[in-house]
Amino acid sequence: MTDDAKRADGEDAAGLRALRLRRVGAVAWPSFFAACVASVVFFAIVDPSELAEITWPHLTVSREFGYSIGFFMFWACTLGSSAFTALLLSARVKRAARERRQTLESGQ
Amino acid sequence: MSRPIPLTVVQDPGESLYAAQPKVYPREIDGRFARLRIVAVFVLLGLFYLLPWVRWDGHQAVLFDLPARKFYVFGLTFWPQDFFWLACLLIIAAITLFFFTALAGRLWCGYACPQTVWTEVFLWIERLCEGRRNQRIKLDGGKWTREKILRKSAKQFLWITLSLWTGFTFVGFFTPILDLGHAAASLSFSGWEGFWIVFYGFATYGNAGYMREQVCKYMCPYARFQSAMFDHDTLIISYDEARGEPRGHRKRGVPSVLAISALAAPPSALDGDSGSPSASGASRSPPSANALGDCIACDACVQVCPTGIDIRDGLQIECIACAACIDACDSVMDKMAYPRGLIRYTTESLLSGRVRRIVRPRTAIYATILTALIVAFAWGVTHRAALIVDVLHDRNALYREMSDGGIENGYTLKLVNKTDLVQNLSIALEDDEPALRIVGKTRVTVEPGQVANVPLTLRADRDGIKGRRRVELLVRNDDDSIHVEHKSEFFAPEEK
Repeated sequence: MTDDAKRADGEDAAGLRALRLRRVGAVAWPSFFAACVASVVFFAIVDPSELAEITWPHLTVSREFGYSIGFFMFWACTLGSSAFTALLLSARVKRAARERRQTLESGQ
Repeated sequence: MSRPIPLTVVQDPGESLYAAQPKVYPREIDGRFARLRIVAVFVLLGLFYLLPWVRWDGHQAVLFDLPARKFYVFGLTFWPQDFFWLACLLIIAAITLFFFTALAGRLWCGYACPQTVWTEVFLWIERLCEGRRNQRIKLDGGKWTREKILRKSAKQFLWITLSLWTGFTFVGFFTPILDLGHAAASLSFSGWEGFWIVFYGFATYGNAGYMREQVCKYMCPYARFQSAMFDHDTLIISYDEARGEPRGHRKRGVPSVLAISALAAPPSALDGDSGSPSASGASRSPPSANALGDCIACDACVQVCPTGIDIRDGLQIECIACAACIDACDSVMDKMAYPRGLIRYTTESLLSGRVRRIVRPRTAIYATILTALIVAFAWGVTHRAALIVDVLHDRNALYREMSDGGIENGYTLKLVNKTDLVQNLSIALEDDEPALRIVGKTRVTVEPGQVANVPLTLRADRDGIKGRRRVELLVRNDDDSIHVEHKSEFFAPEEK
């Protein structure tokens, strides 16, 4: 391995860590935003306490609790969807990383 | 002679997906635009932190009371049924954003985005505790001494306090902040209030303290699609390459290329809006004796950049248009006695020597839509119905047959009094339908801001009505200032 390739390997390790973190951010933030919008629209029309009455009347669900689980349910959906998209696209990123390493190693 | 040609892939670290980004230490800067941002921070955060404490007519002036499902905005009260207006308001906000982006670029990003505004405050705290840029770099690189621990703890303490206060204020927009204050004093939050205070506080702490420019560069969707609003006449921050290059260090007293070209050619290129001289587009005389442009390669513009880019490389997606580089470059130009504006707000049209058009199809369309929406919103909100009437037909049975052969339908009237007065309402059948009458009470009192569920029975005499019949109910108050009609249906068996 040349020095260049070694350095590139180290860079790749640190870089891939940064890339993964960034991907978490890119999945979490837009899905959070989408869940906020969905919650606002949904709860503007549906009163959580009325919803609780027609679903699990034997449980006492306060409105705050209703809003909160509603929001997290929406977030779980959007987060899941964004995460799957990221997963499906990530194969391409990994291949690009491999090709780059090969190019560097063949440079010796 | 079969030695392979040494090849390495050259990648710009700024563009590489793999390069771990070094931490950005933005240098402090004073200038026109930095002061403008400070004003923006004080106005916006001042509104955020103080608004929940303002009282109006005995209630919190701005309160999105989620537990009670009522929104107060100063004198206006919004109900879930008014959601349409909230949606309208959000659309107005979006079009406003588009309009100003088309006009002046990333104004939102540079001055108004919560990410920018809170990052600015967190940076002030960092500066207060850890010193200026060079001191911070030295401190981070050094060993964990007593001083470093003290400085870092002080910063963390202030950051966390501000974050928690931010979370508290945020929740204060949704539950009455005075009650929340009492709960805070005795540490007796309800579970969800406590949770959301910590959640929002943590998000503020993470985003403004650590993520910072990473949010704009890798997470923000708006940063990616705002270029759709850009055109050749949109304000951008740009480095005047024609004037600045080739860059290099020089002794003091070397005149600006502008001064030299002004001698050679009378003033030909003046930017229309800023009046700052430009060497771009129009002809420029040969460079000065030492063949250097006006950029002295001091890198001040790079050091102040909160996203860590070099504006001299051209317009980049990472640039949030905060104009810190303009302030930095202007101060350097002042020191060199060069004209300001080597880095400046300009447009692509101006840079290529054309005239800037402010009124153009894009801005005209945005402005028209915006004006129409604002007018419609203002009219709609001030002309909202004072009473909401909903008539729900009995879910369990379409009709009841009475022993005398009469037919009864049961309903529930939902009356929402959106006024601030007690309303005495009477309920009547609108058209003179001789076969139908209301059984039971027809007068009801609804307290201000309350919802009344009134059971109502309509009765038809034997053989009076067959099949389905449209009925119109009228709810009005005594002086007829409230007068709401509502349609429903009456069901009776079909003819045999």
